[in-house]
Amino acid sequence: MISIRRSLRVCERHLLMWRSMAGASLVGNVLEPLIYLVVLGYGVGAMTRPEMLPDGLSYRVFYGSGLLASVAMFTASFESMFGAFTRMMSQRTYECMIATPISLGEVLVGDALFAGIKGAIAALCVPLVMLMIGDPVSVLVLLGVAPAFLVAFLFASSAILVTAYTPDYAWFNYYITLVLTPLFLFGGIFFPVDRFGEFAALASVSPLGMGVQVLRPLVLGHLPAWQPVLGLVCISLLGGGLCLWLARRKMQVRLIG
Amino acid sequence: MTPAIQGTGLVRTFGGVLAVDQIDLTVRQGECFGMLGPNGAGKTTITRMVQAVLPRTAGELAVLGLDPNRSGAELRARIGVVPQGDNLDPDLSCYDNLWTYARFFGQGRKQARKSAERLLDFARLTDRREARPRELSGGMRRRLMIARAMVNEPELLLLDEPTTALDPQARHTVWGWLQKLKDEGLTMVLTTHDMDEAQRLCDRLCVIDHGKRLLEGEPEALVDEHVGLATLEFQLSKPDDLTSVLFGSYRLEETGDSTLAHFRDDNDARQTLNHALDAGLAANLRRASLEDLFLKLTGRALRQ
Repeated sequence: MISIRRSLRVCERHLLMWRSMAGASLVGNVLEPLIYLVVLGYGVGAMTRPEMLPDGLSYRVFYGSGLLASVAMFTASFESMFGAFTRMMSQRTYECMIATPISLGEVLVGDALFAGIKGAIAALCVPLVMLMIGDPVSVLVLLGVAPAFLVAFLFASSAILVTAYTPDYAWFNYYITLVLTPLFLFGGIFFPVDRFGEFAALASVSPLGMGVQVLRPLVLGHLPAWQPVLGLVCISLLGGGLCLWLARRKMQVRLIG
Repeated sequence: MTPAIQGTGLVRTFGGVLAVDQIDLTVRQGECFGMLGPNGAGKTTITRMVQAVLPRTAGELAVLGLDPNRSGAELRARIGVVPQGDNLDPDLSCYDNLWTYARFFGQGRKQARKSAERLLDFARLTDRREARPRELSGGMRRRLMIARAMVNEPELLLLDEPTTALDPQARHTVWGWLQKLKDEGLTMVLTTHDMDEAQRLCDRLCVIDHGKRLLEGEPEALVDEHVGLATLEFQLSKPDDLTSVLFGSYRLEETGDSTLAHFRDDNDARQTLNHALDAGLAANLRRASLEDLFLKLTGRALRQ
């Protein structure tokens, strides 16, 4: 059985580590969306007319309100690939933890929770940046912390599974190129998924697509439809749990035998 | 008194390969028990089964009265582990290393602060509290790791090569500490291939090779019984030249660049030494050591 209390102790260790570099991390969380929003808003925004987008949104607001989900995805994924692999192999942090009452499964859940928190913080920096550059943001976005966390938790778990199998850092490129990048491009962040015609449904049930459908309305000030909410909750908890379970099995063999 | 560790017929396989093959193990409470063996002999596998990290394939095992396969977390809460090499947390300061470790054992924040202070003092690193492990010397890091293992006031301490790669000063400091902990009644299992260390600290020990236990007993008694009392070391590679000087009952061993003669009787050894000196042969008389025993049992061939 996994003790969430013990997983939280793992999470606490990561937060303590993160605290010492929180400054750099937060600057990145703000600067990156700022650059994207300003540049794409300026360039693509000039070529799009409001009637092209739903609700007559400006391109920058449309793009920004979708960006939260992908920021959560990427932040959590990178933490759980490069960060977790370093902890697993060169730093021997996992080995140190499993000599205590904490089990390997609890270590991995703790890792995913931390990456979930980190992803949610990064995601919520996006509406902050939107406010800074004068775009409208609804107060409902505060509810977005939960779906942002779920998106980050899911991608953290799936990245931990990849980490469990990867022999080397270089192998992460396969996952990034073959999984994360397509999800990013087909998730409805840059343009509405109806552009895909009959494949729109496929794009909208992708894990990231559902995150976008939940988070974008919250930024814009209305509640999301129930389907993507339910879908996101289910896939995050079940899919994330399954990934962590499989990752534990593999890491047990790699770390211990 | 029930033993601290009682294992019978322990077996562990990795993908069909036997790493530990039918090992019996008894560690009494309050003793320092040594596990000796070449690299890859199965010592670390046994340690990991005892510390409830690696499940055993077969056999019976009770550690502090608990079955590691069933009561892993409960058992790990009562054991201290000093692993091979260095797995201190490089992202955290000395103080935070100890604090988080205390938290892993379920201590409250305040209690963890107290533990960290106490252990910094124990490791004599109070003035380096904010330093990261990489800023410490090898000896300091080792002290920090041993202090960390004491965070839960363990009933059993497992040490895997605790002084490898330390300079003599640091090694003697660590030995002094371990001796003190032993005097205070802490049960210890020491995995090592430093024979000096084993002879100094272990009340009893076993020699393991290829997953099997070759011997078990008190170090001196084992040496006396299996090697002899005295050893003469000749700087000669051909034992044929020695036949004229050897006296009494002996056992010869060739090491490549020298020849060893092990004697059960001190007088035989002394007589032989006199003959050798008369014959102009360079020879060195010494007490038979654990290293002689180890090499006799496990051979001189290089291991992987």
